[in-house]
Amino acid sequence: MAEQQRIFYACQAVAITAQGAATVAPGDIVKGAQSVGMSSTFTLDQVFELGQIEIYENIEEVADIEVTIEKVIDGEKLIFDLATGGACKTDLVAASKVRSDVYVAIYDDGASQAVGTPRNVCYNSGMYVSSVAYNYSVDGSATESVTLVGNDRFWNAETASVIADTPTNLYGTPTTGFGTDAAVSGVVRRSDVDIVNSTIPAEAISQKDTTDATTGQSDGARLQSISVSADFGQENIQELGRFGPYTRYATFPLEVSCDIEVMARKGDLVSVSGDAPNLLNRSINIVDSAGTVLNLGGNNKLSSVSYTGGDTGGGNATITYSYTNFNSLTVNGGGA
Amino acid sequence: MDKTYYENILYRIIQGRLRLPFLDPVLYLYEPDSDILEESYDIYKKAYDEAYFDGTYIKEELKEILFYNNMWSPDDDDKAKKAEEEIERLKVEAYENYYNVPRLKSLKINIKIQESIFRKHKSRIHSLDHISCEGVASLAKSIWIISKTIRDKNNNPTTNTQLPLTKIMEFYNSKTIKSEEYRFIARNDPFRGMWSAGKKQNNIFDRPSIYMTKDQLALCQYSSMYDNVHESSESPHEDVIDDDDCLDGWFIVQKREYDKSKNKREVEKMMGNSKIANSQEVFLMAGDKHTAKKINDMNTPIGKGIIESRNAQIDEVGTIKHTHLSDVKQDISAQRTQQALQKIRGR
Repeated sequence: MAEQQRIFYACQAVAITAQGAATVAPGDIVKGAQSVGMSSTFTLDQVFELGQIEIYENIEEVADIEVTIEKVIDGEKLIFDLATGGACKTDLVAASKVRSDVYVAIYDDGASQAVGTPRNVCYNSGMYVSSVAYNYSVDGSATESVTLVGNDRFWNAETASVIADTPTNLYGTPTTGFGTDAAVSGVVRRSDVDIVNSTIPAEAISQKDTTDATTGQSDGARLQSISVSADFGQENIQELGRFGPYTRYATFPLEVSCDIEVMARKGDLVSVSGDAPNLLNRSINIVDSAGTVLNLGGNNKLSSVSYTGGDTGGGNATITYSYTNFNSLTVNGGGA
Repeated sequence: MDKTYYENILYRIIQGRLRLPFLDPVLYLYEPDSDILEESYDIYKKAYDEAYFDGTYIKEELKEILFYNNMWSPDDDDKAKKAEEEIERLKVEAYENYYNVPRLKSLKINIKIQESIFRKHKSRIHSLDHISCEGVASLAKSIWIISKTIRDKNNNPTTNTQLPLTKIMEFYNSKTIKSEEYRFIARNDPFRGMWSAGKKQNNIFDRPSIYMTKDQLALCQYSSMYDNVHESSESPHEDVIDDDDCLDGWFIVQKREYDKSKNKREVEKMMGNSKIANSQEVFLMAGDKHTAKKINDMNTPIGKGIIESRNAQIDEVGTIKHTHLSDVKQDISAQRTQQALQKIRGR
């Protein structure tokens, strides 16, 4: 349960390591990070008893913690890749089970770069990937957003006898590279989305302008935005005799959705018959020039089409084609 | 001041000249046109260079002299800043109490006192300006402009070569139009009527804005300011508009509200991701000190208070459980009460 935001820290480093890693390596630092949101939800259960107005016991249930990290896609290692130890490149089921440790290091706000010893370190231990989202749009930079969930968060010198060493010691003073950092491929903008080499469903490229001779990588498809997302759920499994969950599990089947917004030129061109099936399986594979490949497999079906805009306010009409598949998403790219 | 005093100033502004009654025959000091102003910068530069190569101090060097002769210290700047902040606070209070006449009177007295403190400390750093290169050059420029703009009633150059230029300059400086005088003229007739009619004909002072004198431009700006106040969706009471201090207070309140909403918009823009926007703690990446400060400034006063309290707690005890942080404890306590209430109500 997220509450209203209340603090913005000026901070400069986020790192994701494999669960239990003894140190933070330079390769664990999330490059191109834009923002991090953290929430913790404490659940309390009150027990009253007949005969007294006072509470009998206020029982604390296991707390849920959540970290959402957003970065620009820039040829650097992707968050999903870091959080799953590379499992996201081959298998979504395997990726859903991988746990990682997420560090948010707050450096002195008087420092020009996040180097040296941070002032505070927040250590989120044993985090599961709860959701991922990729967004390409004509405005702004392409982004990756990953939410991780877990049950353990420690600050600075706190171990609570749960972790082997303090967050401050575990984080140490890694070589962050900040100060002279530059994006490997450059930040992906609209011109870097390689529609020519991507596989886009036939419906979504129905607005293509075949007379346009200067399309570049756009293929003249008039695409405005592409967003791919998957929600893993990640429910707790409890057992008798233990306070915390012994594991979390992704709620399969897991829906992967892809929304493609297109500038309307001819209407959505999707005919619907009540007498026979209308849809075919479609392949979706999104490629950008930073080396990112979002492969949603070949079993994507159109789940909805919405035609909006084009009103008297002067706005242009756009069509959004929404596709879904189940359990099929691999994410490649962003470094080794 | 009675109305004729302001009318006198108004017609001086309209004519674009100042009558010099102590000269015989009476002459006028006209506002300089762009030709004269353009050339005056050459006079300034020439005088500056001469002063500089004669070994005259530049303003920056005078700071040291002022400091070692107890004529100015950085403390003066701090005091001036404090007085300025106090004036701002008092003006907001005056706006909020415009209907409470005794309180308003007392606030206005305090504003005058603080303004005098502000002027005193602010002027100390300028006390030797007249002996600096900049001061010498400014004086030369002013005297040259005056010599070129003294004319008779029909705008013909004077043949008198024995004019007391220094006295004329002193007289001109003593007749500098104050902000409150512009404001009174701008919001009252006859100029208010002239302004309204002139706006419709796109013709104020019978000349394009680039040919207006600085007094005419200032009057137009104040008139425009009053137009904006009247047209504002949250236009204040007429009593507030007629009182400079109260209206300044209203401007300050409006600016603060604007800054607040602008800040909110910036925050929303920086956090397009709803999950991050709804998080309890939001960390934004800062590439440099300037950005870090900007991010820190985005906190609400409550958010800043929480950061300070957390840092103080961490500094004090070194290690602290997240759940022992005072703001987290408060949240949990509030949540506990809320859940208990819901549970009881749900029965």
